[in-house]
Amino acid sequence: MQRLARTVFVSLGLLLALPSVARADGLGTIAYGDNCWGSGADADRDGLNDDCEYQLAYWFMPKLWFDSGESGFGRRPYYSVKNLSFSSRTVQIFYLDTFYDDTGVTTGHDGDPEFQLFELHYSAGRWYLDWAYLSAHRKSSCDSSAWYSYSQLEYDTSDSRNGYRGWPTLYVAEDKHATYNNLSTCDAGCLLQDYCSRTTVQFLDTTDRLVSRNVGSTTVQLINSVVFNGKTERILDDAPFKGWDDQWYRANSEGYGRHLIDFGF
Amino acid sequence: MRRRWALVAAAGAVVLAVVLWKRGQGETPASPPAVVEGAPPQVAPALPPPAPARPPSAVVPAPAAAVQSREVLAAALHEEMVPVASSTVVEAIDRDRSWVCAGEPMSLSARLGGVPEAGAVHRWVWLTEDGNAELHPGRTLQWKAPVTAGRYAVRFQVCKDLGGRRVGVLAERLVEIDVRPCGPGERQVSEPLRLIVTQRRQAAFLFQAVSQGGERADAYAWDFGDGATAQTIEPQVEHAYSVQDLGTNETRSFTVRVMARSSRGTPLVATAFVLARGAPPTEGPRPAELEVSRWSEQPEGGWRSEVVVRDVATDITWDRLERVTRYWDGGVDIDTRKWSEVVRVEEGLERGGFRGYVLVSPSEAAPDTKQILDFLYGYDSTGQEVVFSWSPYKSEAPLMPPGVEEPPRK
Repeated sequence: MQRLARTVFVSLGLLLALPSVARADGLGTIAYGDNCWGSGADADRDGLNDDCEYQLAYWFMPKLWFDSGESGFGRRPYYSVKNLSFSSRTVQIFYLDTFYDDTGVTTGHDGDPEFQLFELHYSAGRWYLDWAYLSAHRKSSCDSSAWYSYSQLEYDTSDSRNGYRGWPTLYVAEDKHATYNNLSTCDAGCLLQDYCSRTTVQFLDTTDRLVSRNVGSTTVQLINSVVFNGKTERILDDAPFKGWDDQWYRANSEGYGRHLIDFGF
Repeated sequence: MRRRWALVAAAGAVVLAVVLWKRGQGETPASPPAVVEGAPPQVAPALPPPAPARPPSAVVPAPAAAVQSREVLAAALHEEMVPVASSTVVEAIDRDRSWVCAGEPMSLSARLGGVPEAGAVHRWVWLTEDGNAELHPGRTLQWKAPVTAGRYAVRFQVCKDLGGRRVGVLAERLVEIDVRPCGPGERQVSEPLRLIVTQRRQAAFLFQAVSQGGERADAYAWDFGDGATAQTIEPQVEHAYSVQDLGTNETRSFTVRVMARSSRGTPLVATAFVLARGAPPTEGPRPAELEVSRWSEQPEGGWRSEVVVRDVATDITWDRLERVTRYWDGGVDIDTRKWSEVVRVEEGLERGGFRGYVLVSPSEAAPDTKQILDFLYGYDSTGQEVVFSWSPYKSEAPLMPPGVEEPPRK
């Protein structure tokens, strides 16, 4: 009897003394798993459930660090989600940052179509970030855009719902809005012209949580023509993007259409 | 009465023992973290459709390759695996170590042969101890060993979507992994040489050989896995991979090896796998290629940046250089000079190209200067303006000020 009591006591002690369990990687906050494929409404006809697309875009929405000199925070982000493969449980999310302006000295322009493309997969109850393509002056003479694998990205795990391979933390170049995986790559970006620091931190969409911002794709368009502040942008077309602003003294940027097409959205 | 109490206590002990045994065997908890919140508060998403039924409880994995049949895996993945004839072949699975300590990571990389099939995807699948299946896409895998030693099986597959939940298996290979119990001195952190990989830009990486105790070797021999090699005295080197032939969703794995030689002992070797990924072409032909080095401080004061303009498409006649100084208070100065007054040409190259440098004086890089930008203007043979720009100096950002406001939680 005494031996049994001792066993119970020791077992209890061992149980309490176990080290706390390390946090799991990825995100466990998304109410969809592989039922994201082939279930529910599918407005953009890509095989993915519309609400699953929203939840993935929302939960993986990146956290952005801006520099102290940033003068062009204004933006109205949209997103598109694409089914890559059921076999690999892989999808891609294209975040259209839609900054209203590039406020760079001497090179500024209306509309700034920088973007991030995330590739993620589902496995055993959790979603994992695999790759991120971060645009940085794409198609310009100092293009510093790059694909980064998950191990090259930073994750803020001070929020207990986030983990390694969850939503990443990115760095936004001052006024130019090129995005990078860390301060060091930003420092080297655009022939050393980009400037980043950890001064102001925001999620990509600061106000609307990406609600009703799924643009579909260039072939099945859910949102294209957007009227805002009395001005219209056609964000899926291969047309200039003026950031709902069209100042006579500044150039416009080329739009998102060519980037979306290049990446198959 | 005493007898009943004894029975209750015995039952409690058995339950505790089972709990302890299970926790000891578990790799990571299958349940989501303690704080799992629902959908974003501003939205009330419809309830998701029910998840497919779990595999029957009889599907209990064991740490042996033999039981990981395709059928058991398919059931755990809630899919139907269909063998499909293909000329794609899994030639080999490379690994960064022959065995792994319990609870530690191991890298695996698949080598493919035969004829690649359009639409094929790659994945690794394996059973976990709780009866689920894990899946990781791609040709490489960082696999975390369970905390219990034993032999485990991981399956690499080349697959194709066949519609619905049907997955065509074009080729596959089963890998058995030896997971051993390790003492503190056998863990990876105690390995005499480790290879750290840091990405610099698209498909370009910094490799650092880190020795136990921080000791440096006399020389390092690098094999980057793409046919290129290097010898260095420093324990680090940069290398860029050519990925022009890769499509947007294509990746390529390179096996990087470093050998550290020292007169004091036997050479040490470390291995890492590097993944590079193709990207769509970004623009048409450029007027020239521009290379600018990060500035270096000069003994006599000031900073120097090397500037190279090469591969010039048509003759360029340089005209002027605008030096833009940005100050911490937001102010901007623009100073326009003759280009030859700023750019010191050391070697003329074809069609107006050059190899030279620019200087920034100590007075230009005053404490109130945040950054300096140079804009070099010229004209090509058609009269079209050509502009190149770079930064020959920027000051360090101040450390993060205390009390940075966090954004609202998701």
